[in-house]
Amino acid sequence: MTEHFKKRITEFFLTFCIATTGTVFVSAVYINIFWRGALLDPDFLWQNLLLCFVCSLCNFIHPFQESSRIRVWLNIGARYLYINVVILGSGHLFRWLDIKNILMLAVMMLEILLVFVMVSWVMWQLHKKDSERLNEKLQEYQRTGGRT
Amino acid sequence: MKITIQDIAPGEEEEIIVRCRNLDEALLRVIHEIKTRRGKFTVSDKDKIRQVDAGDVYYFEAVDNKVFLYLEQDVFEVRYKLYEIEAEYENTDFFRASKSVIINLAKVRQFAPEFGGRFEAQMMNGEKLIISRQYVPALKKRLGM
Repeated sequence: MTEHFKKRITEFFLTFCIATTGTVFVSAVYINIFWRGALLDPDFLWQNLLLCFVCSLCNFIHPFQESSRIRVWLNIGARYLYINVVILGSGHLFRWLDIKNILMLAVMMLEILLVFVMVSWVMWQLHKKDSERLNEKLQEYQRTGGRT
Repeated sequence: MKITIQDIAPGEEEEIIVRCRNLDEALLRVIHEIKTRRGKFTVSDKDKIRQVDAGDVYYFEAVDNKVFLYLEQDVFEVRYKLYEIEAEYENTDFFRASKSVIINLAKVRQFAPEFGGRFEAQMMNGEKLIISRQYVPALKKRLGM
């Protein structure tokens, strides 16, 4: 297994964990607003986990070769679109989302956006930390003439 | 360790032969130094042909099947392919940063995070180059992370 592939798998599981954590919070809000007092089917929890897993697969979606900043943003947009389609479609299929109810749809889309931003923010912080360590190593490399 | 220096005839190519049992770290370091500092690239400068020290190169970039060598301020076209440079300068400061760019790590001021798991290499002459996500693990390995 190449280093690159290992990193992608690690990122996938990390995304899954962060997305699941975020989903628990936004689900609690969603249930409180639209399904308060309803008896929840335990399948809902499994559906949540399944959806987080399927959405985390977006880590492997790169329709555009990332040769420029615009293409990176296009890939991010494509991933966001994929997540929306998966969640809204599944919500409709599993009957916890009525797509004709505009308010319900709007809240769900807002929650998707919140989790997406949260996952992206955490991943960005980790990436930033990585770059700090990389710079320390670069300085060491340049100081020692490549003997790191 | 015995060191033998032989005189060569004018016009004959200089050559270093390393005879050893193990290619240890110290030896690799010496080879690295020799390759980086003594390596030269032949470039076409208008009508003239000139040689550029490998240590002065900031990066190489392939554009439309042509390879360009970038110095602090000048740019020259070279007749080498990127993969040839990569192979020839393996274990030196040159590092493949993307499909079309090879950078000199000794000329990088710092790395900045970029979206999509990539990094931006900010060079000492102010230029900015992208380290593709695909090459990030190799970069970390190279820097000992």
